[in-house]
Amino acid sequence: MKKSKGFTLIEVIVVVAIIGLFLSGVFAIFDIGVKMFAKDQTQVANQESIRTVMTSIEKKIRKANHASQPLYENIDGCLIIRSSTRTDTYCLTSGNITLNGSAIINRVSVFDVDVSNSNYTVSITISSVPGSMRHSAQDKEGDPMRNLVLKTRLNNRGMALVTVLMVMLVLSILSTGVIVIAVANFDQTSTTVEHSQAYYVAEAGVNYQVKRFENLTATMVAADYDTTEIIDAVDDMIDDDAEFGHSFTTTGGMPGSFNSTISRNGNYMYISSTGTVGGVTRTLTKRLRMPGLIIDKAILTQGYLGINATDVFLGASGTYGPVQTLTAEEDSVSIDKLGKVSEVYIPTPEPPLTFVDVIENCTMIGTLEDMTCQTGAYQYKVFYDDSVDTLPPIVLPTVPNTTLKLQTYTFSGKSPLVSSTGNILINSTTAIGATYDLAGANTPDTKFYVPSFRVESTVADFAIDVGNKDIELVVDSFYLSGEFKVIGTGSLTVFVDYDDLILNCKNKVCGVKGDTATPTVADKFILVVRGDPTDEIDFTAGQNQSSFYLSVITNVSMDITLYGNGHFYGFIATTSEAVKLNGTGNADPKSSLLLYAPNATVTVDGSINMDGALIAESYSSNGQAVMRFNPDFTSPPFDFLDPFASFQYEPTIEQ
Amino acid sequence: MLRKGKGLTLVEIIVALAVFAIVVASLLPAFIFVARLNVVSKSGVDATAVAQLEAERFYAYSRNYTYAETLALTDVTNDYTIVTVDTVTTLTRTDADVEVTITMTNGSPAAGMVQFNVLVELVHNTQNALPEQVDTILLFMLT
Repeated sequence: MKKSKGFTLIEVIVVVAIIGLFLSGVFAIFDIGVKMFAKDQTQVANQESIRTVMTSIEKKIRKANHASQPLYENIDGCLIIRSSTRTDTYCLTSGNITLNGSAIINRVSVFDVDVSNSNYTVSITISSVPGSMRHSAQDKEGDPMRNLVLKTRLNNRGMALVTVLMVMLVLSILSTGVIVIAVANFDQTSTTVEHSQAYYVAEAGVNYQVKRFENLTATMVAADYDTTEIIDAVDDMIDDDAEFGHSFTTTGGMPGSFNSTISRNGNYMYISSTGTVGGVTRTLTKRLRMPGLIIDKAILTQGYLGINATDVFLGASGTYGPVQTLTAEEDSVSIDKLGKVSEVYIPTPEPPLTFVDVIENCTMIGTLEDMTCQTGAYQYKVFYDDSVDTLPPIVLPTVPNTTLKLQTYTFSGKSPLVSSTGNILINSTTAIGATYDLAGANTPDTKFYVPSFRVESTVADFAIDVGNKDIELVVDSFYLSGEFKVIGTGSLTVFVDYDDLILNCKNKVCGVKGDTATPTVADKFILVVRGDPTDEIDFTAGQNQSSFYLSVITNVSMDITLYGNGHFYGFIATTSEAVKLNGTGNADPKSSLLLYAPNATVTVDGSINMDGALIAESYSSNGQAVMRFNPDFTSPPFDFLDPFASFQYEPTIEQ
Repeated sequence: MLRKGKGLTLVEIIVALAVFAIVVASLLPAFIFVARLNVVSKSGVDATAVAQLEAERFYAYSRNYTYAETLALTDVTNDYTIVTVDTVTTLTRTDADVEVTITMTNGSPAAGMVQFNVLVELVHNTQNALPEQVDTILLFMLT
């Protein structure tokens, strides 16, 4: 160094100048790298927060449903979304997007809402504050590095190669970092994109199962299948799914697919769908409630279930008469209690419980899970059906408002069935073995006013043909004291006030017995009776095979007394709070009765023998009831009991 | 060694410069790659947002209108070109940035379902970004 002083000075100046030049270049690249790094980070963070708020808004918009319009509103730049249960407000307040007053994301510069209720669209634009994070990143990381670089230059005079190598090292690390971040950013973007795509594919799976279910049930309902048959078909469809699975590959060329399943628990259908796009999967579930009732139990009660020690309840394959111990589950499907354990009768709804509290004179065997109780020589199983939380309410049909009269109808040599005033009279002077074509004679009308409808006595083989129509008659008075037939695939409904109804059926067969003794006959003839809830219809059938063959829908109470061989064949629905089942009608043929009384306490006295189902608020027995669930029970003619009449879809939930 | 060979410093710098130039040159494609990757990322997110918007729009239609009503409504309110061949209806629209193609297949994959596909392509696709899409099944009102 001492030998060549002047040279060294020039050399040093040149070297310093060149190094300076290099370093400024290097620093420029370095600065770009730092900025890119910061920008990427900001972009990713902003994307994430915007996605959060967009998903939140999207979900609310999808659930928006409210009686009072509009569903969406833009008030002072705030987005208001109304649903039947809540109102949500999104606003931009000093850089934050707030939901109902609390900030959910920050660093927002634009929140632009464009609402078109007529078009059912809400356009939302959210922008983040540009580069806000970049500045802070540069301040934090940039300055110390700059100091380091300056120090290096001053202390290592002449060490150009070393300096360059060091700079290159720093540069390489930095470049690698930038590339890694960019690739990660790209990956995350792809994931974001796939996440969104997978959601829609999963939703496709949910909709696919919903429609399959709807298609199947709609076809079967249209073809007049019974509820039990439709349920069987639905369960078959579910079984097929379990065996084969269902997958769907999108047509647009996207390598996405869904796998969805449907399952049933009582009145609920559960749909689960997993969408897969790339490496991302999303699972959605949806629940569907069938508001009617799937009747597969001998007894359903919501409240008190008081069974006498001598009562006998049998399952589908049970036999009549005294039964000792029932072992097979199917044999012991005997009593079913609806819903949750009633706290009125069970202080602590936790097993183990003593069933004496629930079922009088019955000792609990095992824990609540076993649900077996013993009364005298008999064992019962009690099933808790959690899939039904409330019994469907009865909707009394609206009385048709009509003044149309029926066509007069005369049989040769007999008295007219329908008089010139529109009255119907069925008695021994009416044609025997003849058919009155109600549907054909009165085409195309189905609703009529009939001042007086009297069935005075049984007329052998006389039938009213309703064709495929559901004929409705509003009558001023109805008198029933005999049997007639209703034929065709349709039905005959008679609307009458309680005060204008006279049943004179002791020692007689009343209603529409038909040719075969099956309960389907009863949905052909429905009596709609309106009165004061404290009124009581007295169905009393006595000796000599006397019985009722009809269906009743009413708001009044019932007293059904069946002596000897008397029985009731049909469906009864009542909104009243009391139904009495009395008598000694325990001989064959049995009563085949679906009694639907969701508000009523059903009291049983005597030894009634039933083949059907009993659904009530509560049940109390004081006699010896023999009751067997009838699995062949056909669908009741009441829409409110039809589980397939309408479905209630609950919102799709992401798991 | 460096201290003794005073003349070597300039050569050293030239060598260093060369090495540096080679390294920077080799890093340059990587930087270009990163820049392109970012453009593709951004366009991917933007295109998906457009596809999602269309999916949500038609989801909303499906909850309030029948399939036929939806097509009629779309015809009136949006600038789509609508072509229907048998059960397949194709709606196309070109904005400043993107070209949107919506394909709806009525009755696919089963009766009552409408297979719905949105494809969003960039109009100025300098980076050859792949089109983004959303695929789902919609259930329109029956009446």
